[in-house]
Amino acid sequence: MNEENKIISLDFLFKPRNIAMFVAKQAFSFFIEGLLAQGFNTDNLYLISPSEEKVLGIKCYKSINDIPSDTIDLLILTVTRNELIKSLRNILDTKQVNFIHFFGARTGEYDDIGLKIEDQLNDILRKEYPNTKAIGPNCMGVYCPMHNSYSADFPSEKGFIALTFHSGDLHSRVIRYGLSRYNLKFSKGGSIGNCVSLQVSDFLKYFNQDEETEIIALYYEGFSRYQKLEGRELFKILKDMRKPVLFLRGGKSNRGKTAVLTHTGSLGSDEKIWQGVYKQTPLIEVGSSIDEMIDYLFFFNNFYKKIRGASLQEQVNIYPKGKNALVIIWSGGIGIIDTDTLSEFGLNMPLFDGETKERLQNVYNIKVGSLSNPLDLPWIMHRRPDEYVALSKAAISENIDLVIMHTDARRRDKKSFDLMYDTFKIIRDYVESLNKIMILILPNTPTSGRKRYYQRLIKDGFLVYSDLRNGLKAFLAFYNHGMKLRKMLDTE
Amino acid sequence: MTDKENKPKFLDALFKPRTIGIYGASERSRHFVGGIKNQGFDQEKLYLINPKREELFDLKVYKTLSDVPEEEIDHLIITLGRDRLLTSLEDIFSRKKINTIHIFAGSLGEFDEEGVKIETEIRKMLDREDINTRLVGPNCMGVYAPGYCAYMKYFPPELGNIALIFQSGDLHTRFIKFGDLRYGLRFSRGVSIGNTIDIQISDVLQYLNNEEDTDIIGVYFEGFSNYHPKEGRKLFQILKTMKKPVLFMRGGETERGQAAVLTHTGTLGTKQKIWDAVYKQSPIIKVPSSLESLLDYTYLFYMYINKFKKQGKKFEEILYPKGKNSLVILWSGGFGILATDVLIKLGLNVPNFDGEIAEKLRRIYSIKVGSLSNPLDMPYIEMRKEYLEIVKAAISEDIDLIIMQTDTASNLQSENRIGLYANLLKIKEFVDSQNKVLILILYEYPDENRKKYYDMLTNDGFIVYPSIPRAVEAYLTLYEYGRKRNTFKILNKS
Repeated sequence: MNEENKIISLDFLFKPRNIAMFVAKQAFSFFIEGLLAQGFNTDNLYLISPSEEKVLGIKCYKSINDIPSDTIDLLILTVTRNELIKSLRNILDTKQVNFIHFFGARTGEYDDIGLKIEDQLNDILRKEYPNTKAIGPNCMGVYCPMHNSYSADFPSEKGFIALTFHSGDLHSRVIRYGLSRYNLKFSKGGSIGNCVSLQVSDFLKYFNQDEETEIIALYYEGFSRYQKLEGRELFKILKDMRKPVLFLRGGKSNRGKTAVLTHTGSLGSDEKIWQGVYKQTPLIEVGSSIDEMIDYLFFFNNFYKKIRGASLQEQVNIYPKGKNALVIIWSGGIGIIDTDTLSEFGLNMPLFDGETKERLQNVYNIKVGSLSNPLDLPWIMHRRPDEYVALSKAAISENIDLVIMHTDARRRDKKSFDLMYDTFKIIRDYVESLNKIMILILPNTPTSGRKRYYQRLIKDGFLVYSDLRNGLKAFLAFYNHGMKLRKMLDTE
Repeated sequence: MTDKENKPKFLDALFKPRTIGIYGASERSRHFVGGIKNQGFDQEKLYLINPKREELFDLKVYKTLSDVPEEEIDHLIITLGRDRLLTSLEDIFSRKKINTIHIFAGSLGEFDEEGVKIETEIRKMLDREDINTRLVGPNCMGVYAPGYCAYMKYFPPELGNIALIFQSGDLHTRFIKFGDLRYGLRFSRGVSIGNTIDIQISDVLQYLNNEEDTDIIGVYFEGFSNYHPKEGRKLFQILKTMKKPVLFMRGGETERGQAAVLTHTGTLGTKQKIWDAVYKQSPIIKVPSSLESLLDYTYLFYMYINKFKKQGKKFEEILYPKGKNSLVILWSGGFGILATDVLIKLGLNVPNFDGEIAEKLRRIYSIKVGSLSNPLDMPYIEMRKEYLEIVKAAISEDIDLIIMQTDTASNLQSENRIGLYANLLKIKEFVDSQNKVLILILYEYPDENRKKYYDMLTNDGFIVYPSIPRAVEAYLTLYEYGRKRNTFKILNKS
C-alpha cells in the first residue's frame, strides 16, 4: 500500500526465463501446449508431479526440490484450494519465486472457506514474501507472443494491444475473435482473476510505460478486497494514462453486480462514479459487449499501426477534428437509412449545394443517381471508373472527416471485381493521405465467397465492418478520445 | 379510380401471374429472365418483346405485343429508359390488355423536372377510362413471387410466409439475399414498389392481410406519392386493422434523412410526430433504421410462428410471449455478467434463484465450479444428464426467455460434444413444449468450424444469434407484438 507510485516490472511474468508448474498433469496440458505454441524452451519448463513420469512427453520432477534452478520466474500453481496454502509455503520456503499464477477457483468468489484462503494468500505474500507477486486465483493466466500462453491457438506474432481481464473466458475470446475477425495481434495479455496480489492498476502502470504496447483493453468487474485504496489508485493512474484504455465494465447494472459476486467476487461500484471517471480520464467506455470492444480495438489498431511512436502532439494532430461524414453508395435506400443512422449517432452529413454541387457537376454530370450526400453513383463505378474516382475525390472536401462506402460479396467476373477493388483502394488511399477515415461496410453472410473477400480487405488494411452502427460506434469512441487528448494537451 | 382500387384481383395478377412479358428485352434483361426462369415459371408463358431481336437467353423474341399469342398479359415488365416510356406505354395499351405493369426506369419524379413531367403523363394515362392496368413503380426492381417471378437469379423459389413491401429495390434485394443466406428465410411475396404513382403500399398491405400464404410482413417506407393525397389516411386505417405482424422500417426518420429521401424516391415524408401516433395506435412494430435490425426481428418472428405452424396450429392460435423474465445459461466466465448487464439495460428481468429453486437445483447436482444461480454457470458438465436436469428445473414457470451461450469445437464428433448436443436438443424440445423461447448465442467469426456448427444448429431448428444485444432486441419486439395484439384485441379465434 505504501508503494502506491511504484511501477512493478512485470517483465518476468510475461517473459519468464523459466516456468514451473505444480502439479503438472494431463488435465493441465493446455498450459504446456500454449507454451509450446509460443516456442517456449522446454529445458526451462519444470513440470512437477509426484505421480507422473511425463506429461506431453516432457519429463516431470518429483518435487520442487529437484528442479535445477533456485529462482523461478513464473510458478503456475494448479493445486485445489485445500492444498493451496501448504503448497505455496512449501515452494516459497525452497525457491525464490518472482511471479505466481494461482489457477484454481472456488476461492473468494465461491464461499466463506474460499474467502479465508484468499486472506491467507494475501497475508503470506504481503508480509512474508513481498518480492513475490501473484495473479489470481480463479484465472487463466498470461499471454505474451513468443513467450507465454495458456492456449495453443493464440497467435505468436506480436501486436501492440495489451489486455487485462477479470475474466479468462472473455480474455481468450477477445484474442481469438480479434485474430479471426480483424487479424488483431497483441503485445501482452493477462486474465488476472480475483486479484489477491497484483491489481489492475499494477498492470496499467506497467503497460503505460511498456514500449511494446500502444493500446490497452480492460475488462473490469470490480475492486479487490485487498487493496483498500485501489479505487483512488486506479483513478490516479487512469488520469496519467497517455495510451488509449478501452474499458469494458461488467456489473454495470445492479443485477449484474450480484452476478459479479459469484464470478470474481470483486466489489462493484456505482455507475455514477464511473461516469465521472470517464469524463476526467482518457478512459474509453465500451458498452456491455466484447464484440464492441473488438470493434473498437480494430479501429484504434488500424490508426496506431500508421503512427507508432508518434508524440502525443503528433497523434492529436491527426485525430479527426469533426464528425462530418460522406456516404458514397451504389444506389438506393441504403443511403436513406444510413443518413438516419448517422444522424441518430450525432454525425453530420453536410449537404452538397451551391458551389460544391457545381464543382461536382463540372467533374461529371450523372444521368442517374444523385450528386448529393449520400453520393449516389449507380453504374458509374464500372462504366466510368475514372469519373467515379474523380467525383468521390471532389466530394471528399476539406470538411469531411469520415467516408462511408458499401460493398458486398456478390459474385462478379474477375475484371469487374478487380476494378471495384482497385477503386476502393484508390479512394481509401486518397482518404488516408488526407488523414481522414474511410469505413467500408460488408454485411455478414455465411458464404465462403464473403469470407475470402473479407479476409482480403482486412489483409489490405481496410477498416471493414459488417454493420454501419458498429463502425460508427468505433469512430465515435475514436473521435471522442482524440478530443479528450486535445483537451489534456491544452491544459498541460 | 376508386372502382379499380376496389378490385384487388390485380394483385393476384401481380403475384401469381399466368403470363409475364418483358417489353424492350435485351441483354441487360438477364437478371429478370434468369430470375423468372429460376422460379420455375413456365417458359412458354414468358414473352420477350423487342422488334430488333430474334432470340435472347434461348427464348424467342416477339416483334410486337400483337404477335404474342395471348389475350392478355398478367404482368409486363418495361425495361426501357425514361425517354421511351410514354411512347412505349401508348404502344402497349393500343395492342393488348395488360393487367399489371412494372416500370423499372428511374430518373423520374425523384430526379428532375423532366422526370416529374413524365410521371404525370403516365399517371394521366392510367386514369383513362379505357385503360384497366395497374402499375408498380416507377424507379424500382419490381416483383418477387416465389414460383413465379423474380428479378434476381438467386432469389429462392420455395414458398415461405414472409411478405415484403419496400420502397427501395436495393434494400429489398439485400433483405431477401441476407435473409436467405443467414437465416434461411423464405418468402411469400415481395415487391420493390418505387415511386408509387399507382399501386400503393396500402393496396398491398390490405391484400396481404387477407391472403393465406403470408404470416409476417416487412415494410420499408419512405413517403407518399404526390398523386395520392389520401394515401396517408388510408395507410393508417389499414395499419390499424392488420391481423398479421407488420415490421415497419421508415427511411427518413431524421430530418437529414428526409432530405435524402427527396433524391431517392422523391416521395413526401411525414413528421415524426405523426408516425409516433401511428405506432401507438396500430399493432405495427417500429424497426430502427437498420436493415440488420429488420432482418434480426423478422428471423425471430419467422422461427417463432413457424414453430406453431409445425405443431399444426393456425395463425390465430399463436401464443406470444407474456413476460420478460429470462434465464441465462453459460459455460463460465464474464459472459454471464455482460449478458446480465445487457438484459437489464434493455429492459428484461433476470430473476434471482433463491429458496426453493436454488435448493432444488442443488439437490439435482451440487456443482463444484460455477454457479447454480441466474446466470446458470456450469462449466465442464454440459454433456451430463444432470446438466439437462438442472436446466429443466431452472426453467421454471415464470421464465419466458432462455439465452444459452454456445461455442464450436475443433471436433464436433467427440464424445463430449455429442453428449452436449444431445442435451441441447432435449432442452430445445422442452422449451418448445412450453411456449417459451430459446435463443443460442454463437459469436460471429470467419471460421470453417463455426460455420459447420452454425449450419448444424440452424438445420435442427435452433434460433441462433451472434450477440446478446441482437437477440434481446429481437425478443423484445416479439414480446411487444404479443402485447399489442392484446391491446388491439386481435383476438385469437381459438
